[in-house]
Amino acid sequence: MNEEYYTNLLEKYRILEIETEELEQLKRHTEVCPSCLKEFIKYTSFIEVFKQIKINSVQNIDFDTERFRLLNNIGNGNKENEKLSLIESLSDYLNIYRIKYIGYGFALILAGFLIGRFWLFEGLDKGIEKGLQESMITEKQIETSEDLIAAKSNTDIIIESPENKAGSLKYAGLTEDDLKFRLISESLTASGNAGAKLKTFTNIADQKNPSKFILDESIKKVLILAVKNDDNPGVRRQALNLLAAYPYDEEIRDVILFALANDNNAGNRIFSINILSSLQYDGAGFEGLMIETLRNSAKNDNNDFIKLRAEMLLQEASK
Amino acid sequence: MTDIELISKIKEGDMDAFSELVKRYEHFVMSIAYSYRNSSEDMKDIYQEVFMRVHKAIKKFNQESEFSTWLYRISVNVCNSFYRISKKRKMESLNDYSHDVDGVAMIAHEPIDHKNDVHEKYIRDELIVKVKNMMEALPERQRMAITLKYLEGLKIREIAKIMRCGEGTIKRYIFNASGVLRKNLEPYI
Repeated sequence: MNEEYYTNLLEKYRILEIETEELEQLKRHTEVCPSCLKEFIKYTSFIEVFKQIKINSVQNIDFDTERFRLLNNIGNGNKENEKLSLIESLSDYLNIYRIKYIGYGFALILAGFLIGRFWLFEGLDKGIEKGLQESMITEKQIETSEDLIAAKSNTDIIIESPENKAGSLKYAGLTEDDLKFRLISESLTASGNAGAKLKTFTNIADQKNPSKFILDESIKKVLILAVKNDDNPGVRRQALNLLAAYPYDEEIRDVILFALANDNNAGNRIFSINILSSLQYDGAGFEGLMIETLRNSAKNDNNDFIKLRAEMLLQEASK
Repeated sequence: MTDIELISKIKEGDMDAFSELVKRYEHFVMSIAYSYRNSSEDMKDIYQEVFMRVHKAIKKFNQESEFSTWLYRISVNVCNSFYRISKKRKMESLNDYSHDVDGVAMIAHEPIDHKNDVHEKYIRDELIVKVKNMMEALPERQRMAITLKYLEGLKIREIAKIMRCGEGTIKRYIFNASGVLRKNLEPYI
């Protein structure tokens, strides 16, 4: 094969269109041809720069988080459309009650009228007035009536909706329903209103009947997202607290280690290291990533307690 | 599962299929966003915007062209919009502008893990900033061809399909662009 053939291979290598076999040929040739070797090294350095750029370009991107955010955004978009039909259903529901109260109102008006008309003429005005009051119960009153909603609820779950600051919303339906996840997700991922998020965590954690509330994967994802991204340290801590109730797995381990390594709140880092050292994780063992994170904390954390705790755990691990 | 199969499932409302399609093309979109010299935050916003548009418009996608070609067009449109906005912002804020052109100043904000790596990291990051600056100076189609070739590792025939032009044209773009870049990078590599 002549020099032109290898020049052609070099060009193919330069634009990354070379076949594996051809690359091997070219490499063998560079061992005996200094000029081609020089070109080969130049092209390799050039390609290497792009490899570095490729790594650099996405090193700050957590694709899982971005994908989750995207799907959540799309879900919220769809929900806007669903809202219309939900509003229609709600209107129907309210209409039934309105009719009921209007019925009461009419009955009272009639009673008032009859009482006033036939027995006490003075009672006529009062009867009408009372009847009107009864019939004037507004949609808003029905909407916010805890008793009315509670009567329909068959779970103990109370979810704080950031958009509904007026009061807690009791969710009626099976806990496996998509609505539950949507409400929790909305509550925990919505910006601001940390108070509502904290109340939601507390409510999830304080379920009177935990069997009704399954710690499922979808909620786990929202909790992980809260640990990684929420601005409020209290929210991040409560999310960690709930995650500790899940069965131990790599995802849980990673998020705890993430909090230990990255949370800017020392209290949360202490909380993370306490979870790691708790009996719950005894069976988990100390594997590479955990050791590495603990070493980093023992060396670099600016909180002395965390340093000490990390060292103690490392000593335990080495036994 | 092929792209076409995934797309027909998405049209039926299958969100798992959509998630799979996103997974398949997210690096592709990020590379395009990156080639427009965007920050990580802008890249994330572009990612969200591109796939939101894809989800919204996928029912209208009639498969006359490759999905990657269609996605490429959407990504470039979104990037151009972001580019226009950020350019406007730069004009409005002289302070921001001076920070943006000073690549080294931006590097200084990045956390450095170990003291020993400082020099090496500095040189590597400086080189990356230089290449990005040089790439920005390239004509748009050359820049895109280079990005799809060296960052996405696509074959020339694939790039030709995506950019809707001949393979010869793409080769010319890549040769010209890589020639310019290599010449400018000679003192560094």
